[in-house]
Amino acid sequence: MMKSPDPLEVELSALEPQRISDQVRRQIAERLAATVPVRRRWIWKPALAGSLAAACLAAVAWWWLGGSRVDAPPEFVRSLPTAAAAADVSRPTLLAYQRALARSPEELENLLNSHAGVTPFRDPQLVQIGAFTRSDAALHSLLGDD
Amino acid sequence: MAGGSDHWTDWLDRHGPALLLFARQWVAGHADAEDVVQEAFVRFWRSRDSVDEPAGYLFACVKHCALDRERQRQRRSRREESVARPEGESLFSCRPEQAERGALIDAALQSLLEVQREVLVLKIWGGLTFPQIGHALQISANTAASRYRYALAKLREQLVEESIP
Repeated sequence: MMKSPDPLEVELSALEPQRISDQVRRQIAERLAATVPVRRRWIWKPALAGSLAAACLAAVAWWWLGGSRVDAPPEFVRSLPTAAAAADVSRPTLLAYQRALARSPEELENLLNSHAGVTPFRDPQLVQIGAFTRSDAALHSLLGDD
Repeated sequence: MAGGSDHWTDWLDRHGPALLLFARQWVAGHADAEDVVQEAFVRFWRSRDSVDEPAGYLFACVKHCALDRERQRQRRSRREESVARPEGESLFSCRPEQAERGALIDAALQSLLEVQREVLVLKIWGGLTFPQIGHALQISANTAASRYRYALAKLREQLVEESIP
């Protein structure tokens, strides 16, 4: 059975408290709108912490996996000295020139000619110029003297 | 939730007038009460997800902000010992035919003990249940119900006395 409402309660309920002004509503709206970026900033903090943790894990994993390869150097590292040594053998040395000259000028010339053929970076476009083998007249004409 | 919606305007529409009336239990004027409600509502809205009983929490925020403001005001001005309401500022927006009776109820409300008046406001105009009132005021639901009954009895007595010339 429903209890009949208290007349005083009914009378009190009929009284309306004063309403909140539009100005206050506007101020609340402004303050709450300004709150949104703050909440988003709080969301970014865990995201940033997570990213840093992931980066640290990746660095540790890279160090761990990369560290095991230190004992075995890459193949190309071992092949480089071999090629360099071969080049060194074919190249002339000052001592070889001195010995050839001591034996005879012809032998030196032969050595020079042979080494000229094995020079690794020889450019076929280059033209050999023997300026000091020209005659004086040819030099003067080259320089434009009359 | 009490309002059935999760937009702040719905909360303010539903509870705004009661919040204002509730704040007036501690602060002097309508403008001060609006400032209190504004501050409390913004605080409530930012932290509402972390509470079990948001409607009760909203009123608790208002009380907290109102008491804070009143303490600050009293620190600034020691001369006031109780809340003095500016003349002509009624708690209710009454129609002309209700004005006289409204003024009587207004005065009778002021004569109640604070602990009774706050329960009455939360129950009648806030629309809260006794458990919600208990949540808001940090008391048990039974205590809230008891204070409510005493408040109604006292109010009835006051209104009868005022009605008799």
